[in-house]
Amino acid sequence: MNHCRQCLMPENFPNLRMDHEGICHLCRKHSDRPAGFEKDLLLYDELIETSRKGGRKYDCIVCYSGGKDSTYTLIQVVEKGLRPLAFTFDNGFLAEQAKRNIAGVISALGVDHLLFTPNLKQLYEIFHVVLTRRLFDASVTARLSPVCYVCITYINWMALELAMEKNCSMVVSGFTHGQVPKAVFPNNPDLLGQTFQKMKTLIADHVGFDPDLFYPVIDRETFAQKTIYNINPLLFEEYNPERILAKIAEVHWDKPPDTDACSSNCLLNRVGNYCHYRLYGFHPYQYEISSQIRKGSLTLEEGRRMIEDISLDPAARRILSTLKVDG
Amino acid sequence: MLDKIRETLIDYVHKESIVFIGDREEIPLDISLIEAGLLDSYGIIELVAFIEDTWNITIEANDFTKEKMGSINLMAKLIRDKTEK
Repeated sequence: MNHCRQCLMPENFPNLRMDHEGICHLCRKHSDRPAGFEKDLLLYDELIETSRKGGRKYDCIVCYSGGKDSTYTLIQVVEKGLRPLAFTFDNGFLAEQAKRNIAGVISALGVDHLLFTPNLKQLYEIFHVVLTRRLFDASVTARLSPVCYVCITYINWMALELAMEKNCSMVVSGFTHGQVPKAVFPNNPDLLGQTFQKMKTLIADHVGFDPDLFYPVIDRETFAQKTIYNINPLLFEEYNPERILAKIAEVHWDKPPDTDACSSNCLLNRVGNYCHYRLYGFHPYQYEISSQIRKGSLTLEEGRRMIEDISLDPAARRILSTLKVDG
Repeated sequence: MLDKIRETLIDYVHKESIVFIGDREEIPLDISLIEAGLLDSYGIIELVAFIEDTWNITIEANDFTKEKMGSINLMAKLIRDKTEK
């Protein structure tokens, strides 16, 4: 298969166009800064000021996976003088070192933390379905693996639920270039509701329970009364893994030894990558990795190593067995 | 003017959507791009950034609704209304 000479995007990626020099259209239109960069930066500063003056217990919800990027983001939030409620979603496959990191980091930073584990029996049933069927269209699979989509959808909705409950205007996450399109964007009940409902409908035909009773339910009217912004501060800076690792070492964060090259918290990620490649023919992190190559945050060789890391190790095979998925 | 805005939006979806594979003529004008599977919610956010940059307008949080932005035709009308203000 042919890959873009500059960023490694494969020719079978949805809607990718390769020119006669072997360079993809994404490289041709590449801009160093995400859309609306300056406006988003101003808005973020305004939201920080407003939130700090709000006199509430929490200024923002931080989606805290325990991985390196969200740890760095949580530190940044604290250093800006914000009072976050850190929120972790446990999908049953958090690496042991990730759990130790989470406990150590929230203790070192002195922030409140909520660890939430959903009904794992139902969650595993969903994982089984999305790992074995081509359930999602390219609007999902071009950006992430089906298992990541299942978890991130849950996390986004639960973070919104928490933001409404705690009267916060910001949900802060550690997403990077290529994972999300903008540093700051408002949540909207209609738009989110459409994508959420689409996913639940697809899953409903294959599981033995009602997905509406599994996922958080948000009252649309309450949601519509307040604008809650998604904030991704990592998009405001050059993504530099070395700088991030140096910063999070200050709170004694250690890389889990058993996660794959694209994750620093979740053991299911390797399984998700493997099954995504098997189902859809390209790596689920391809878009993100190629974005980072274009920005110079990853070298071609580093990107190639990450994209080629789709094998199963013994732990991943055990997870496949747990989820009743053939290896 | 409405036609020109609509054409620019169709061009955007055709060329810039990371997921759309097909002819320009296949892009629906009156149904949600999310429901049609042409854009995900992040794709819509990218589209909004494109709209703000192209027509130098601001899409407010309360514009972000299915009633105002639920199709290419609705988006074109919203852009026209904002640029005529």
